[in-house]
Amino acid sequence: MENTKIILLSNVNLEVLNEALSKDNDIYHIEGYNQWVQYAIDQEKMNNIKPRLIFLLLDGYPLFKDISDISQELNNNMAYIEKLASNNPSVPIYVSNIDIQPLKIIQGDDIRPEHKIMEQWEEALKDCIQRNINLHLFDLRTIIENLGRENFYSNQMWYLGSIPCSIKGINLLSERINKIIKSQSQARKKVLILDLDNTLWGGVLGEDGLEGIQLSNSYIGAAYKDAQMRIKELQGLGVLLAIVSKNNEEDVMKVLKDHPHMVLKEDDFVAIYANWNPKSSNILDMANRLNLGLDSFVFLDDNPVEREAVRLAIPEVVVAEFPKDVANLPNVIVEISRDYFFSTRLTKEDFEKTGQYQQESKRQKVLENSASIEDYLRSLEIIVNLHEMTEAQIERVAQLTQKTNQFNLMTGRYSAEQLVEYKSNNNNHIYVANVSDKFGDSGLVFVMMVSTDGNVATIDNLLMSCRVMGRFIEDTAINSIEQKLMAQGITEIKAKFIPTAKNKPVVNLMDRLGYAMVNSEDDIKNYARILGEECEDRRILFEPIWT
Amino acid sequence: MREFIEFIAKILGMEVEDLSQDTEYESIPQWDSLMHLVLVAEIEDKYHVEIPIDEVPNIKTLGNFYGYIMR
Repeated sequence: MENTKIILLSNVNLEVLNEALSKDNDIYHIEGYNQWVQYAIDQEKMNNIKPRLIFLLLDGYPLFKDISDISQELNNNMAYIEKLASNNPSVPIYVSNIDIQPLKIIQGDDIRPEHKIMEQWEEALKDCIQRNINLHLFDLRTIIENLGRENFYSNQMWYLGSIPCSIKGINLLSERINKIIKSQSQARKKVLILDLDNTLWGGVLGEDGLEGIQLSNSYIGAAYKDAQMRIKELQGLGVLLAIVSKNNEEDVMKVLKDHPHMVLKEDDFVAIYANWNPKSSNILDMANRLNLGLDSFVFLDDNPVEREAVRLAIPEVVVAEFPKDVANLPNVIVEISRDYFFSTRLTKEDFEKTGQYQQESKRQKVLENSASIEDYLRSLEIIVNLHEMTEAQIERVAQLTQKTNQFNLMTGRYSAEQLVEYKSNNNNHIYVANVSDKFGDSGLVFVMMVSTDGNVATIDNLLMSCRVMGRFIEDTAINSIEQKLMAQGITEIKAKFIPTAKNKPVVNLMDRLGYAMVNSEDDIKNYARILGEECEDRRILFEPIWT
Repeated sequence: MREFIEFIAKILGMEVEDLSQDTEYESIPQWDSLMHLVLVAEIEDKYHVEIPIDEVPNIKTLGNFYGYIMR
């Protein structure tokens, strides 16, 4: 049975929050309160519940109220948190930073001791999160700071029910937790499509001209500039940016190049559509060119008519809400990032993504100049580096299994925690390949998960990033992994194709690679292959390297 | 009064018809000690009144709550 339960642990009474969350989720109710330490260190307790997600929200004030040895107490708490993480290695756990109400009366000129404890907690928690791949930060402090302590806490609720926060506070917490729960089952979007007039700047470029648009360090223009800064930060987190705007391309390029307050430059965008075509047809064209599914896009436009038109024409594209007051635009960007581009941990590939899409266009140019596709591929000097997944690659592999749609035979989605669990079985292997060529490094782009039983191996998951599709890298990689398995005494290998709306590109892959279809049921095709058999259609163009 | 009962019914997730000013604390499963606190907070917030905590345990009926609004 699949685990559905969600547990909320705390050192204070959060029963009201539990009830608010229970409306939409399967929450496990813990009897009594301040039980978090028991649940953290008692593995059996958790094993009986089998949660799929754990939240640990801690109130700083009661935690450090009567404590003289702060660092000892801090270490104890971190040890409990670490224990909680290691007892539940396959469960994502969100742990809060802490806020401590400055309630103690102290001398006016003294620096409040609470500030230091909060910082120390944050530092220690950061280390803890870095050491444990299933730990994630729940940024409680920012929630409290944004609402203000006076509104977040409630003395009345505290003295009457040991509930530290107000109803308003509870609602905010439940909203944030619901978003995290939702994000667990949702794929991260990839591209933010931006309109220009009254979205990246104020006014209409075609009418007001470069000098006339509102974009500056003060007044309304500053709201747009701040929004651009937030968007630039998003880009730094691996989100791809694109422009779709009804404007003259020449005018737009001039603003991107010459406007002194433009934070976003031409190089920041993977695609710029400034023309008078319907926006939906521009988006369809872009999806095609970038080789991305339509559900990878989020569309931001101030014009409700354009939003509705895109919504109707391409329902797969997420159309973001635009604020009534432009002053809130920078905040809306932050919300968009939280709702659609959430990422708990970034991989090396994320940071390099825009560059990689730009490399892709250079490769397209070489292709136009080459005689045959094989010549072209050889000329790229592709290096396929194969190895078993290392600890440092877990996040990236999890991300690939979750985001890859086209080249994905079984579409098995794995979290980092589930990968750890899979690997903990000695008969299971997670083979990965890093690919680079003379234009740059594409990073880790290929994953093949294989389980073995006696002399039979089964491919449990097989996927490759669409970034490197069409180069026959899979031929080299799979061929080489098969050889590796043969050397281990495996004689037969099984595979499966499970069709989805998106994985048409690989519908005949196993046939082409010399796998024989054994049977098919509900469109699911089962394959088997005797290792070492001849296969003419394989194109082994590259010499793999094993490390 | 009607509007007040409607407000309470929404918080308790009940029908207006099932509540009156004589409905008593803990006489219905929805109104337990925890909900009691939620009601205090929500009523204070909506009607801008203050219900001192030492008086909270003395509130036994919806009518008692209504008394604070009418003051």
